[in-house]
Amino acid sequence: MNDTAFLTSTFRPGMAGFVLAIFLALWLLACMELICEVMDWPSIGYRVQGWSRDNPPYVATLLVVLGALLAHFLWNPIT
Amino acid sequence: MTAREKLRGKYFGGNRWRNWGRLPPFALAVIGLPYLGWRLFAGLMGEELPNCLTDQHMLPAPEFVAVGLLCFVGGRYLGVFRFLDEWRGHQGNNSAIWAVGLFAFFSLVLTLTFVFEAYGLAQVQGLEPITSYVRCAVVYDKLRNAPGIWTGVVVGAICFLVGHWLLAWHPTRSHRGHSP
Repeated sequence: MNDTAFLTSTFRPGMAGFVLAIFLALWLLACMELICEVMDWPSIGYRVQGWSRDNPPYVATLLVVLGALLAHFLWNPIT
Repeated sequence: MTAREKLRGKYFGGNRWRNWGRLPPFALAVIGLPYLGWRLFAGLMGEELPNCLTDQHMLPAPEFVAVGLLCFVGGRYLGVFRFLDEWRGHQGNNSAIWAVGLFAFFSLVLTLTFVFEAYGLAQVQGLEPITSYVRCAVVYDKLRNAPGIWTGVVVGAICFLVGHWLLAWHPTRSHRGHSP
């Protein structure tokens, strides 16, 4: 792809949207955890930990999928 | 009582859910994440960008995988500061509703992501697979913020959460007095 075609493609909004989505998700999580702390409620993390303790097969599957995604995104050539 | 138990009782919550030591980092995240996210978003939308597909040498980047693994292990062993056995029995339903809501929201987002990925793979209206956007964003971060600071921070944060949430090391009463 030449540079002109690249700049008119969807790469720019795609990348920016991806970055925004990641930070929005982390921000929402931080907000919920902060509210749980202030209200003296069990944290969201604790709830998820409870689920993961009770469901090791699902956890194993999730870990494999997440590990594969990490390697897929970062441990491959760009094209 | 071991020194670690004393430390935990004094600084890491004791019998209450609230832990004042956790408030500053969460408050900082609530304030700092929107600012940082917006700055990176505006940079990608506004700056002159070279064609990332021509920077072939930037990826693969195994250093980020290493960062992710380290943070995953760190997140797992941060679980040592709370004893699950002591928590059972005083849970309540309050945040459980939020957790279920979060799971439903996560499922919805995942579904929409798969729909987008299907369109991206078919390259409908110039869309690309999500992988292409992610890898290009990593290349720009490596070019602008060498050696890819924000990629490392995001990968580290996600892997830390995965390790802490899905594979937390919680010592039970039988483990008391023993180091992890």
